[in-house]
Amino acid sequence: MQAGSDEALAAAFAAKEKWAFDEAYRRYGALLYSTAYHVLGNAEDAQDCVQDALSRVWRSPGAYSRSRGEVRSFLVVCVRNEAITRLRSKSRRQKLTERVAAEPTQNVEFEYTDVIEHDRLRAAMRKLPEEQRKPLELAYYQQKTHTEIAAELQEPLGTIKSRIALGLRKLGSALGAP
Amino acid sequence: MTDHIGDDAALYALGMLEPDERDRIDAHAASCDACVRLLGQAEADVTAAILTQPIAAPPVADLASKRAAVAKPARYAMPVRALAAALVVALLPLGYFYQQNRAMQVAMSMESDAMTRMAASPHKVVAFAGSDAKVIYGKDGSWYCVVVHGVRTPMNVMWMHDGTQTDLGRVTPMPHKDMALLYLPASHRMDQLALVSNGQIVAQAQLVF
Repeated sequence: MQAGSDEALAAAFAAKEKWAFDEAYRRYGALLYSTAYHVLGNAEDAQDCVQDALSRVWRSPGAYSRSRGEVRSFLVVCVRNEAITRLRSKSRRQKLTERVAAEPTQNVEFEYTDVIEHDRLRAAMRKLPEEQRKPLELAYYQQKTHTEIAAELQEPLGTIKSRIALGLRKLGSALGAP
Repeated sequence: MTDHIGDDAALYALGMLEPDERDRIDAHAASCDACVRLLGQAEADVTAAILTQPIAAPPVADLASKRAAVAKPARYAMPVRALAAALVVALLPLGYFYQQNRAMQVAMSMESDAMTRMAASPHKVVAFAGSDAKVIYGKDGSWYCVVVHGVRTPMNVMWMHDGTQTDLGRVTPMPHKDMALLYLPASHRMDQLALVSNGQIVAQAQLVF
C-alpha cells in the first residue's frame, strides 16, 4: 500500500491515527465546507457544522471502518447529515417562535449550477422512472424526511423507502460512483 | 438491534433520518459487515451527486486569518534558534499549501463570478462539436464562459476570425471536479471559438446571436 494513497489514508483513519484525520481535513476540507454551505447557505454556520461533524467523528469509536469504503464519502455524508439536522432544528425553532411556516433556506449557488456541472445531476435524475425520481428529488433537493415524502406523495412509507434506495443506486451508478 | 438496515442505508446517506435513527443504524453497522458495506455504497452514491455541485469557497478573509493563526509562532516560547528552525520547517509546506490554496481560490472565484453572471443575464449555450465542452455566453455577446469536461492536457480557447486565431486564454481546472473553465467577463461579439491543445484545434463551436 502506497503511503499517501486513499487506501493508506482509509486504513489510518479507521485506526484513528491523528495524521490521517489531519490529512483527510487537508484533502477534503473545501469539499466538506462546500457540502455544508450548500445545505445551510451561510458561511459561518457551514464552518461550525464541519467542525462539529468532524469532532463527533473523532470522538466516536468505530465510526469508520475500511468496509465502509472511501473516507471522503463517509465524511461528506457525516457533514451533510449534520447540516440537515441543523437546518431542521432551525426551521423548527422558527416555527415555534415566529408561529409561521419556516421558509426553506434558499441556496442561490445551488440554483445557478443548472447551467454548468449540475446539469449532469439533473440529467441523471431525469433518466430515473418518475416513481423513483420524485421521492429522490424531494429528499436530495428539499431535505425532506421519508415520512414527509410519503405523506406528500400519498404512498406507503415502505414503498417510498424502497423507491428512494433503488433510485439512489441508479443515480450513483450513472454519476460514476464506485 | 438484529434487523439489517436495508433501504434505510439510502435514507441515512441522503440525510433523511433523525439523529436518533442514525445512531441506531451506526450501532448496528458497527457490528455488521454487510450493512456497513451497504451504508458505504449509499454514501458513495450521494457523494457522486454532491460532487456535481460547484465547490463553495470559505470567505477569503477567514482563510487568511486561519492561515495567519497557524503560521504565528508562540512568542518567547522557544529559544531563538529552535524557533527559527521550526519556522523554516513550518513555512516550507505552508508555502506549498499557500500556492495550492491560492490557485483554488482563483478557480473558485472565477466559477462563482461566472455563475452569478449566468443567473443574472440572458444567455445561450452551444456545444463544441467533437468534444465534451460547451460555451455559455451572453445573448448580446458581452461575456463568455467555456466549460470543458475531462481535460487531460492544457487547453486554450481561441477566437477564430478573419482567417486568424486570437488566444483568449487557458481553461482553469476546477478543484475536485473533472472540469475546467475559462470565464471572459467582458468581450465583444465572437462568432466562432475553438479549443486548442498542443497546437492542434480539437473542437470548434459556432455561436449564434
